[in-house]
Amino acid sequence: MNFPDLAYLATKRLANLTESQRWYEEAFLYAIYSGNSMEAKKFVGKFKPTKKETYIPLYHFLIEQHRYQEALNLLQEYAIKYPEEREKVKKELMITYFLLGRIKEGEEILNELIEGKGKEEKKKLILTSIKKIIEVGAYEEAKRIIWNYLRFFEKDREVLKELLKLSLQTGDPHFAAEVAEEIIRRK
Amino acid sequence: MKRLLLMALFGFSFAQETYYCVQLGSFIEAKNAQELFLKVKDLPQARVEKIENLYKVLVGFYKNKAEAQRLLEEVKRRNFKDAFLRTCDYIPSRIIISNFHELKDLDQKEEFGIKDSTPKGKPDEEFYRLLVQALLGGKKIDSALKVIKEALSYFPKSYYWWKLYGDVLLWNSQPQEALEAYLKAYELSPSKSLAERIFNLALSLSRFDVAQRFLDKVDVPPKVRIYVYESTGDIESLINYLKKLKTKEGLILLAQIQFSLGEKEEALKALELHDELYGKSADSVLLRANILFSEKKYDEALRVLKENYESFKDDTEFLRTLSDLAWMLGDYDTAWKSSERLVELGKGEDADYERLGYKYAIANPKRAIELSLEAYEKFKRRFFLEFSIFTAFNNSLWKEVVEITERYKDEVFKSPYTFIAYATALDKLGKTNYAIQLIEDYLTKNFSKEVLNFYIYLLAEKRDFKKLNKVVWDYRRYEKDKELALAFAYAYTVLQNGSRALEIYNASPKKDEVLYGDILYLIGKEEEARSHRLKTYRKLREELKDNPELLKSPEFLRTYLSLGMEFMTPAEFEKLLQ
Repeated sequence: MNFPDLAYLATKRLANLTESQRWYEEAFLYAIYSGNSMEAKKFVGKFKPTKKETYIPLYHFLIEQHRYQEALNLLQEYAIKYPEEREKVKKELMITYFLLGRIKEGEEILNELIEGKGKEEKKKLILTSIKKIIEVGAYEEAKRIIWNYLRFFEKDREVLKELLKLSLQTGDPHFAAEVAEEIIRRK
Repeated sequence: MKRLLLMALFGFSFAQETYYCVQLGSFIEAKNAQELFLKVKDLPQARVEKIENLYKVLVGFYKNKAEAQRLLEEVKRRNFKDAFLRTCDYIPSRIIISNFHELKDLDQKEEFGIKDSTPKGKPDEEFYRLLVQALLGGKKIDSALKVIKEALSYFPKSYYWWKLYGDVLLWNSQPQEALEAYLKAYELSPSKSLAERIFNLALSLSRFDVAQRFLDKVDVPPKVRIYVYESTGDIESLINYLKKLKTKEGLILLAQIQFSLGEKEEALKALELHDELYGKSADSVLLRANILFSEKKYDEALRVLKENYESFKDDTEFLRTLSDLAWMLGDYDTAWKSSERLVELGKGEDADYERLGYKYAIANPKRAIELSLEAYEKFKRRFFLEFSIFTAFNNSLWKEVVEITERYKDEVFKSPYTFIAYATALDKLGKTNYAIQLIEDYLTKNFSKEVLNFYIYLLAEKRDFKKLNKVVWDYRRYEKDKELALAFAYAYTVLQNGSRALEIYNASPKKDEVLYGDILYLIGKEEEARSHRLKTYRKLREELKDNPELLKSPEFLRTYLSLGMEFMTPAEFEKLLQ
């Protein structure tokens, strides 16, 4: 048994004995360190994060459980508490906005994020954003963004392919056909 | 491993925990990193990370330095002497390829050069597929077709594109072009389902040449296979197929084809086989009879049909052929039997009714009338109406003549002959005045020489001198007409105007020796009249000696008797009357 496993067992015991938020948080962290996400999940909601390293894994748990609003609150708290980390969590913030259906706010962050970024980074951010927007069923917004970015990547076949796939995922075959025709026009 | 997966799930890029790992190499070219990665991909957490424009090949992810150290030793044992221990962060976005991290981002793959091996400028098939999928989804068929054509120029050996091209052309109502596309697809990758599609399409387009090529590649019902052979005109293949097939219908068809090719012996053999395997059928018997007929073996052909009458007496075609052949060969009883059966079955044609009409006209005139009227109703042929009236007329069925006429008055009145039959029937039934009234009306509305001729004789017979006088006066312009002169001569004789009668008689191309004798008598040439009558009587007697059948002619009999009254002994006359 390695240290994280031992530490997890110890903190879990303490948490159960004391029912203290502090130990729950510790147990949560050590469960993650020891690779036991199922165990970690048990502690979600039993504590308020106090440690910097707790925030992000907890955020991901909340996202996984579709508790987007709580995830957003957590990120905002994190950004206030650790302003030096604010830039690093922008992408998560953007994704959370998208997942909450707050497309405009997400898009504002997307624009900030892609500013000055390399082409590859831009592609990733844009495609990820569209995927998330589609995931929450905001198809009209997704369609608008796909259409906007078509021209930026008219020579990038791989991005065009992804945009085409995403346009098919919007469930609007006519839109997908229009995208296809636009791509052909710009070829 | 679990830990790494979890970390990947949580995106630890922001926590940036420090771990220990082993670095095996660092490259500017992604390809070089890829090559090295492939050599160590069995090691724990093997991966390539892109860090500041360098592709680094790393293995392991340990919190515990000792564990990482153990991995380094293992790596060195594999002859990676330059490998070293280092700290590393878990940043998924850096990982280009790994044995634990499924790459989903195509950009990463492209960057690494592992996904898209297609050289730049070369077409990307998936891209074309996506374009077509999207265009078809939006029903942009024309655009889809353009893209498919372009794709085909790049992938001319692709079954997928040719098949899709065929499908889309078909949706676009271009079946001919679709067929060609499917044929190319089939060349590239033959399959039964495609063969079936091609076959059916070829049939619907009447491309029997194509359909025939696919006959052995699909399951085709015999009828369709035969249809294809027939349509392509490949008789040899058809004959061979039918010989193998040996089905009931197939053998008949085989015999028919062989017969039409003049191979009569072969055709008869096929029929024999048919009868042996399946028993005789109307088709096989008929065809056999046809073959015999074509060889001028008429009686044999008829015999074949007659022998099988009982078996196929419900088969219209059989009965029809039998009736026609028997009638043609003068076997009227067989013809009548077949026609009667056809009528019974409700399949009688006009020829059957005609034949039966002749059969019954004398023996059973009422049946003949009934059948003729049935035929008239069925075929609307005037012949049958007239036939029924004349049959009734000839058999003195006056009531029937009147009934038929009153049922089809307009039609009957169209012909002077049927009208005369009607008028005669009325007269015979004692309705002479009504008949006369109708005749006068008829002559006023539709003048007919035949009716006038009949009217003159009727009035003469009835001794209605007043009306007769009026008629000869009213219609005197016809008195020298070649068809009416004799009637006028007779009328003048009845009216005791001998000189006028003689004048008209002399103008008539037709002659009546009895009438001429009467006219001579009327004008006072009694001896000449007697001498003429005797001469005529003798002449007729000689004719009768040569041809006793003449007695069956009412006209001959009438003349002969009227002369005989004067010159025969009473015993002779009595005998003739009997």
